[in-house]
Amino acid sequence: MDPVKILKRSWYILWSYRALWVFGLVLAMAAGSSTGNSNNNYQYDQNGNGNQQVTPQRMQEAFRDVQREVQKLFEQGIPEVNITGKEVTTLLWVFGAFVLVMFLVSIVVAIARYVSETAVIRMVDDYEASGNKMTVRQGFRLGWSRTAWRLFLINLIVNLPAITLVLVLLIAGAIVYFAVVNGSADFAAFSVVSTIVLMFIIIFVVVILSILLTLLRNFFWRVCVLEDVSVGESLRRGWALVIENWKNVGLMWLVMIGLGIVWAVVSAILIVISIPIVIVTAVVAALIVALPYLLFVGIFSTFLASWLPWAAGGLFIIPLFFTIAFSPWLLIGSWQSVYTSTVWTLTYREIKALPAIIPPSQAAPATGD
Amino acid sequence: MSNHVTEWLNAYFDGELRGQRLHQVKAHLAECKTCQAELDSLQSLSGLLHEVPVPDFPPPERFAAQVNLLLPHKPTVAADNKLFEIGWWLLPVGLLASWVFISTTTLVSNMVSAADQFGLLKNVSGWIAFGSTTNIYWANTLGQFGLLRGSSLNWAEIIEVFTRASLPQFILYVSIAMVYLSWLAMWWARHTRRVQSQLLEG
Repeated sequence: MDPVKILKRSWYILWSYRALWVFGLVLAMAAGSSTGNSNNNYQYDQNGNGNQQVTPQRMQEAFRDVQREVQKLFEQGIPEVNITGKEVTTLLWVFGAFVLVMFLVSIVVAIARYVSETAVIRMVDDYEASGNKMTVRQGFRLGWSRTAWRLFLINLIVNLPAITLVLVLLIAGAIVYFAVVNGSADFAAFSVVSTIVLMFIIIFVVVILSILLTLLRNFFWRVCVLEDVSVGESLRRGWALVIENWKNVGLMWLVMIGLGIVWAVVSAILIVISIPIVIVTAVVAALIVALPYLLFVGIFSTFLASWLPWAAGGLFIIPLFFTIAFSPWLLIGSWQSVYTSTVWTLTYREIKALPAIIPPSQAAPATGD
Repeated sequence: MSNHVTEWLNAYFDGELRGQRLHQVKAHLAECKTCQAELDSLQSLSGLLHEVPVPDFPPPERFAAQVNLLLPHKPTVAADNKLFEIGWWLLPVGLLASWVFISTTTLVSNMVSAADQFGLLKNVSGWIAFGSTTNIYWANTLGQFGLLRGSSLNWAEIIEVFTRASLPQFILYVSIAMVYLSWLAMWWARHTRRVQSQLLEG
């Protein structure tokens, strides 16, 4: 297998097959909504006073204070900005409706994500097999199938270790809390230190496991989509495929990680360069959302007064505004999604073709170098 | 005469026919002049071939050895080269493991700091000396001597906290990324050279 050839071919497909970009946009949007984790989460004291501890007693007092404040808020409202208690209740309902709408939108985006994932894999495979390019509509028809649901299930299985990790951390946190509150000082110290060590080991192992499972997922998905088999069979065949060709797969994975680093730098530069374009699209977005925004304001003004309908309308319209305004950056993310998916589809095809071109007795290890 | 036995003549001449087929060919040859002529030409060709001197063929073992010599050689991997190859592939894996290790350490450290902020570790905070990295020494000292005041002091504090807390981690990540990219560039160069040499040999 020649990774460089695959990378070059994927690059060519990315730029010559524009219909893939549309599905890439959906993938980028889904990726943007699901990866909200930040790397820079250091906490530090700005005033340099060291450990200002909050005891459980203080926490209980704080909870009681919050309860009192909330009750006061609902009774008196916020007089500083002319909001009555009744309006606070209405605003809370509006916020609840917004959360519900966002939840429904996230479900739609999740469905669109797996349909797009299926479509991109099938479109690239078909293009490689027959040389035919499909339209977006044809691609959507390819993606809208039971396979998309299977991809979701595979993804769920792959993410199970991470879900387990969160549960373990929650349990560990609860154990530490009760040990500190109820136990002796020595026992508490032992619990805390052992939990920290355990936590470190668990996180380290789960992160490594997640990385490997994410690599395997590329093959599980492609087996599922291109061989049209069930979830269990996809896992079994995908695993066998990777184990049989672990050198080729490993090499491709290492190369893709390197390209990921390059891409992070390049995309940061592209984002800075495209700021003027984003300003233009932001103006266009403002023009597009103006009418729906006024419609929302009109609806909310029936039960809210003063500036509140404008704020509530803004809450509902701002996701649409951001989506249009930041569409150039979404396009950059779309290229990455399509390119990565294409590389793994071509790798899968190469690996499947290997036994046909190399006799079993001469099957060589990774030829990447 | 129909039903010529031309297709069986070679086998008949080599004595490979048996039973019914042999009788059938013999009976046909007795009656058919065409097939008889064909058999005669086969016999004369065979006689001609026997007259040609037999070339001096080498024994099979020697022939195989000669073919082996003509085939392109697979370079023998010396022990040093093998070690280099293992190290070559372990390098990126090790870098990735380091990246995960640093990320995990940071995450756990943040979680412990958060637990300490909530007073969960009040009895044991002395055991685990966190918070020391975030103390501000230089800015405070400069402030005490009156060299920095107001917003300048605030900026100095922010810069000191960043330098102590985030900068080392950032430098580590960038270093790992740079080494990884160097490895990738070298791999790419080696790969290109290998492909080019294969093309030249081809």
